[in-house]
Amino acid sequence: MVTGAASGIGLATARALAQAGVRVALCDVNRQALDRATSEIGCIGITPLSFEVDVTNRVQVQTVVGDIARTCGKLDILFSAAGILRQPSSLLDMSDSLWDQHWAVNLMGTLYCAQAAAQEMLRRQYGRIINVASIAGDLPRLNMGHYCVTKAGVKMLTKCLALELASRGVTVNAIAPGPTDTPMLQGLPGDETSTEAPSRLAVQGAPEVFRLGIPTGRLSTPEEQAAAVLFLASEAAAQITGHILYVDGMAKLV
Amino acid sequence: MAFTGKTAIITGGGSGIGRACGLGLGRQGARVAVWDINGVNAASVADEVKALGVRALPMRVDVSNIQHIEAATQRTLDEFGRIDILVNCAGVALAPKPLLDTTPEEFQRVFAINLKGVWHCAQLAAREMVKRRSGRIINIASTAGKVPRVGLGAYCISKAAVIHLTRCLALELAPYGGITVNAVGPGPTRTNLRQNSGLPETIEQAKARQDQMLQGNPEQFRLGIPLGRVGEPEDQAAAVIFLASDEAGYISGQCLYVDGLAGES
Repeated sequence: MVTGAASGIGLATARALAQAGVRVALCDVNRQALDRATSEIGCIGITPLSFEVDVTNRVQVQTVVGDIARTCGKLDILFSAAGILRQPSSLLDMSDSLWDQHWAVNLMGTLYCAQAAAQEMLRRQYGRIINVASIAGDLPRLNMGHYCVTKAGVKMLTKCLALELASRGVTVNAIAPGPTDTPMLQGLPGDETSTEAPSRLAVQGAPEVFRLGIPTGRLSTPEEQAAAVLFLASEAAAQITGHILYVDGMAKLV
Repeated sequence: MAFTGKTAIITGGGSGIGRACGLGLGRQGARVAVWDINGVNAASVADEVKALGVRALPMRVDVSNIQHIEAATQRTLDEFGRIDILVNCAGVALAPKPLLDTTPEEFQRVFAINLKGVWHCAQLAAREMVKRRSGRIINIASTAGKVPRVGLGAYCISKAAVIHLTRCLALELAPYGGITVNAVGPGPTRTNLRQNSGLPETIEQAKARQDQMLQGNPEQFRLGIPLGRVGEPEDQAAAVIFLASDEAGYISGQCLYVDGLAGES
């Protein structure tokens, strides 16, 4: 089960899982993009499932997990990639509605999916849950407080859930991407004082916004994030749980 | 195969996690230089690797001796022509002892192997890697580098230093684009670290220690291992092999904990 599967890291991971022979249930709130993703991934091999679902709606999430389990007989892997970063705002001026939207999708959506999926996984004492944190969960970013707080929340949610499920065969981990070449990053407005695109600011660094930039000198690709998800989802990663795996070209460390 | 045509050096390759790394990389096509202070163990693992159908070169190397490292690096280059992957597994433990009673000699021995050995091996391998702007260095750290343990002060400090050495070296090599430096942080793992460090224990003692690690002990191992089992060398090797892969090219300066959550609890 991949949420946010219609674009960016979710889509790249759905593609990589399908190429590895996994039957993928694509979940996204955007119907059109979901249809495109579903037909693309259908060409890889095993016919994917496809669900238009809003992860902030707990009942919808439960229904989808139930449908997947009924259709496939089981649910082995949950990758919660659904996440949003809408308009930047200072915390002092932030509206309740903007704060609540980020909280609902990035944190509650991740929790709802994990809760529903874990119930299913616990029946067989086996499962892999992988969430998407962010270096923004460690580094404060100007005008991104709403996003940063939810991603810090995803990190601790991942660890607490991992502890709760540790003795029952389900591992819970997160990837923490640095700036990645996705529609989310491209959709960010640039620095007001600069005509540079946000992706260039991310690589080169911008005081107060992206810190010192990315030591490896380039953005991440969605495929590089997907590779980390596939490793955490693999049999080989059985002893790894509660870990936040940074795939960030060292952007967090400087 | 993922590592066909690549050369890997594994220090401490004669047993435990190092052996599992050599076999895992060899199984996927890598040529393996097996370095170990115990030449018999190195030769035996090299034979196991060769049985997989790839080349292997055993060498007796003391990583606390820079002349050994220089000679072994040159010999590896002479034999295989390149160095793509360095896995620093060689490490030593001390008999449990308060830091207040640890002698300078004991402290220095742990640091000579666990930190300076890693640094020297990385230095020489990285000089080769920068020529081709490509390479993977993976250091074996420990959850003990993150969580303090009573009686294991010198070991804990050396492993914390390895984690930060990893970050500093990763930053320095980042501009080359294709060289990453990462660590793997094992939790309690079934290896011969104690025996190899001159700290033999009976099967009963080993069993008692393992039970204590699993169940927890407020002073020593906190809440134990939530996942409910001690790690196997293969669990650690899987993380090393992932970090050594082409796909992990955007991951650098990290410590990937393979600990069944032992380091968080």
